Amino acid sequence: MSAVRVGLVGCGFSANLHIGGYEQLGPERCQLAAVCGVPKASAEAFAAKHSIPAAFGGMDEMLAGVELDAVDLAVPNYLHAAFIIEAARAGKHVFCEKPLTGYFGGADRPPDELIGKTVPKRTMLEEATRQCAAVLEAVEKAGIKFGYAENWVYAPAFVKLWRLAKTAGGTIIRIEAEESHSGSHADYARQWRTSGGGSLMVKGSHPLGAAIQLKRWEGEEKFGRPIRPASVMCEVGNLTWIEAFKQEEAHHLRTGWRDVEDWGIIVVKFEDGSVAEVKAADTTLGGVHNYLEAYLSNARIRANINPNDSCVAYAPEADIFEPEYISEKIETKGGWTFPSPDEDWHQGYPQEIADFITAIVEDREPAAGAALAREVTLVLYAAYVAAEEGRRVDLKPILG
Amino acid sequence: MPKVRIGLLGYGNAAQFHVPAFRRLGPERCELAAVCGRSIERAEAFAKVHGIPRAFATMADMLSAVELDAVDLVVPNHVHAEYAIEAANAGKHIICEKHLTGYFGEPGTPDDEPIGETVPKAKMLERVIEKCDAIGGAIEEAGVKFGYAENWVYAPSFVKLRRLAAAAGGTIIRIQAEESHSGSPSVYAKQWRTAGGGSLVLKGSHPLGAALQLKQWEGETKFGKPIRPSSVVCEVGNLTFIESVKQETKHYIKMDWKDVEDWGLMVLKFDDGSVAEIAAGDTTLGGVHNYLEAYLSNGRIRANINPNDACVAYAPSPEIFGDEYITEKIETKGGWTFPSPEEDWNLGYPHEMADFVSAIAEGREPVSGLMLARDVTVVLYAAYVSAEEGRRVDLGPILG
Repeated sequence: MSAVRVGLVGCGFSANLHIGGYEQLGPERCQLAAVCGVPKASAEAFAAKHSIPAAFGGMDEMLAGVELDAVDLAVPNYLHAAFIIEAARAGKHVFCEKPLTGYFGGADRPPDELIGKTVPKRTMLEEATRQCAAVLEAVEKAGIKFGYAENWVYAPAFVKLWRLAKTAGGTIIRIEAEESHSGSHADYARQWRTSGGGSLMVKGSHPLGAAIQLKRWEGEEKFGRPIRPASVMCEVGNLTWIEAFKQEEAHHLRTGWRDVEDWGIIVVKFEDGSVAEVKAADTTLGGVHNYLEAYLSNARIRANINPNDSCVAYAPEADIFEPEYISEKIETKGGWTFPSPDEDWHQGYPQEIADFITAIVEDREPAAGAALAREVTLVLYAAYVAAEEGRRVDLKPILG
Repeated sequence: MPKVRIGLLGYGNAAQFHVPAFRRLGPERCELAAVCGRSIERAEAFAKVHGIPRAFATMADMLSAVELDAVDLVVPNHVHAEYAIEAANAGKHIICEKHLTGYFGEPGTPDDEPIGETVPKAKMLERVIEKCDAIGGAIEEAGVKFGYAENWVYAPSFVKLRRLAAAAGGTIIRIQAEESHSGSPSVYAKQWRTAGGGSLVLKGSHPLGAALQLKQWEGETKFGKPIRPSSVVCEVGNLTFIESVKQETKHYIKMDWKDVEDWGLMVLKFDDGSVAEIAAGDTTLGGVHNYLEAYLSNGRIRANINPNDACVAYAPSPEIFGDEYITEKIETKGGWTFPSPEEDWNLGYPHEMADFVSAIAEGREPVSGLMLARDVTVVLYAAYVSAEEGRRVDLGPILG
C-alpha cells in the first residue's frame, strides 16, 4: 500500500490542528508533500517548522508543482466551496474543515456591510443551497472522496456512545447536545461577512453534525437508509447586548459581536418523530462545554467530550499549575478544574484524519462525508430562517 | 408571631406530603385545624390518621364551622380556580398546589373527548387567561395572601444558587432547566381532559416556575421591578409514538399517552434580552432528572435538585439494596446510583410551607406568589400555541 500524498491548503489554526493527525499516521501511510498559503512566506515558514518538503503561494501552483492524492482545506470558510470545486476538477480527494460552505455576502457587496442585519436569511439559505449543490456535483463528477472534518463524529466518547446505542438496539428518541464557551477570540467570528453566521454556525455545527450523523447511522443500521431531519425551529439572541451586561465594568465573556448571534438553540424533528435539541453559545463560562446525550427507548448515554472527569484537579490559587495546560477557554486555573489529558484525542482530531486517509487507501466513503456536510449547512441556514421569521421551517423541500 | 390555623381541602397524594411539612413547623406556628373533601368518610379517616380535630364534606361547611386563617388547596388542578375564588371571597389566605389553573374542557365536554386534539390551543389560552384574571381579581379584592406551592423555588440547591447569584451580582443571561423521568404512571396524566396538558404542564411547570422566579427576583433586586418573559418558542412531540418504539417488545418508558405530549421544549426570551431553555420529558430513563443551571455574566451555577452526588452507591446486582429507597422513578437499583438522602428536603417541600405560614403570620408576600402562578400558567399555554401554530408567540400583550 503506497502512502497517501497530502497537500495542505492554509497554514493557520486548523492546519495546526490537523498536522498532528498526519504525523501520527506515520510516513508509510501518509506524506505531507506540500503546503500552500498566502503570503507564500507564511507557507514557507510553516513548511520549515513541520519538515514539509515544498511550499507554494497558491493551491493552483501547488497542484501543478507536486504530485498529490489529496488536499486538506484548512482555509477560511468563505473559500471552501471554490477550493473544493477546483481540487475536485483536478481529481484530488478533499478533506475540508467544517462548515462545508455558507453565505458570506459575495463580491458585489461592500466588505464592511453588516450582512447579518441587512440580508434576509431566506436569501442566504437559497445561496447556501446553490453552493452545496455545486460542491456535491463537482465531487460526484470527479469521483473523489470527500472527508468532512467534523471531529465530533470521531471523538472517542461519541464513537463509544454509538457503539452502546447500536448494541442496546433501542430507538434514539431524543438527542441533546451543546458546544459553548466564553467566546471566540478571532475577529472573523464576530462578523457574518467572514464567519457565515454566529454561535450556531461556528460552534453549533459540531453538535448538530454529530446529532444528524447519529440518526443517519441509526437509520442505516436498522432500515438501510438514513433517518433525516424533517423540520427545524430555532431561537437566537445576543446575550452580551443585554443592557445590564453592557453596564458591567469587567467583562468575563467576549464582547464585540457585530451582526452575528452569541447564543442559539435549534430544535430538529426527524422524519421518524424523534427530536434533537442543539445549543451553542459564546457566552458560557467555565471552559469549553462539549457534550452529546442520547436518550434511547431502553437506555441513556452521555458523551462528555469536554469537560470530563478523566482528570480532576484542585488548586487553592490560580498560579499553582502554571504553565501546565488545563483545558480550552478555562478562565482560571484556580479551584476545581477538569484538566484534559489530551484534548486533540478527546476531540477526535487524529481519528478524523486517520479515517480520511484510510478511506482513500481502501476506496470507501469516510464516516463523515459530503451528505452530512450538506445537511449540516442547510439545516443551519434553515434554522436562521426559522429564528428570523419566528416560525417552524419544513426541511423536506430544502434537503430533498 | 400569631399562630396560623389551616384547613386542608383534599386528602389525596398532595395532602399526604403537605401535612408533615406543616407539622415540622411545630404547633406554636401552625395548627392543622380541619380537613374537608367530597367523601366525608375519607376526610374523617385522613383526620384520624394525621391527628386533625375536625372533618367536613365541603369547604363551605368547614369555613362556617371552624375559625381558619388559611386553606390549603390540595385538590385536582381543574377545581383550583373555583375553590381559590370561594376561599378568597371568604377572606381566607390560600396555599395552592401547582397549577393555578388550566384548560380542561368546557362544561358539558364529554369525559372521553380528546380535547388536546380537538380544541385549538389559542382558545385554551384565552380561557386560561379569563380564569387567571378571575382568581387574581378575587384575591386582590379580598386582600389575602396567595402561596403558590412551586417547591423548586424553595429547593435548597436552588436557593443557594440564588444566593450565589446575588453575591456575584452579574447579569443572569441564560437559564437552562429540566424536569424529566420515564413517565407518570397515573391515567389522569395521559389525557388533557384531566391533566390540562402533557409533559410541559405536569413537569415543565417546575423548571419554568423556577426560571421565571429567578428573573423576577433579579429584576426586583436590581431595578425594583420584575424582569418578565417577552416571547416563547416551543416544540412538543410524542416520542413514544415513534413507529420503531411501538414495535419494540419491551417498554421501559411509560406508553399510552392519549392526547398530550410526552416531550416538550420551551425557549423564552425575557424583556431584558436574556433567555431560558426549559425542557420536560416523560421519556427519560435513569430516575427523575431535575436541574437548573444559571449562566451569569460573571459566574455559572448549577442546582442539581435530583439526582445529585450527595450520596453515591454501587450494587453489582439490583436486589442488594433490598427495600431501601434510592430515588424517584429509578428503573433499577443495580449499577451506580445516586440515592437521595431525603427527597422531600431536596425538593423544598418543608421550606415552601414554612414560607407560606411565615408570610401569613408576618403579613408579607410569599416568595412564590400570585404573579408567578399566573405567569407560569399563561406562558405554558402560550407555548402550546407556539408549538401548534409553529410560530413565536409574543407574551407582552398576554402577561400585561
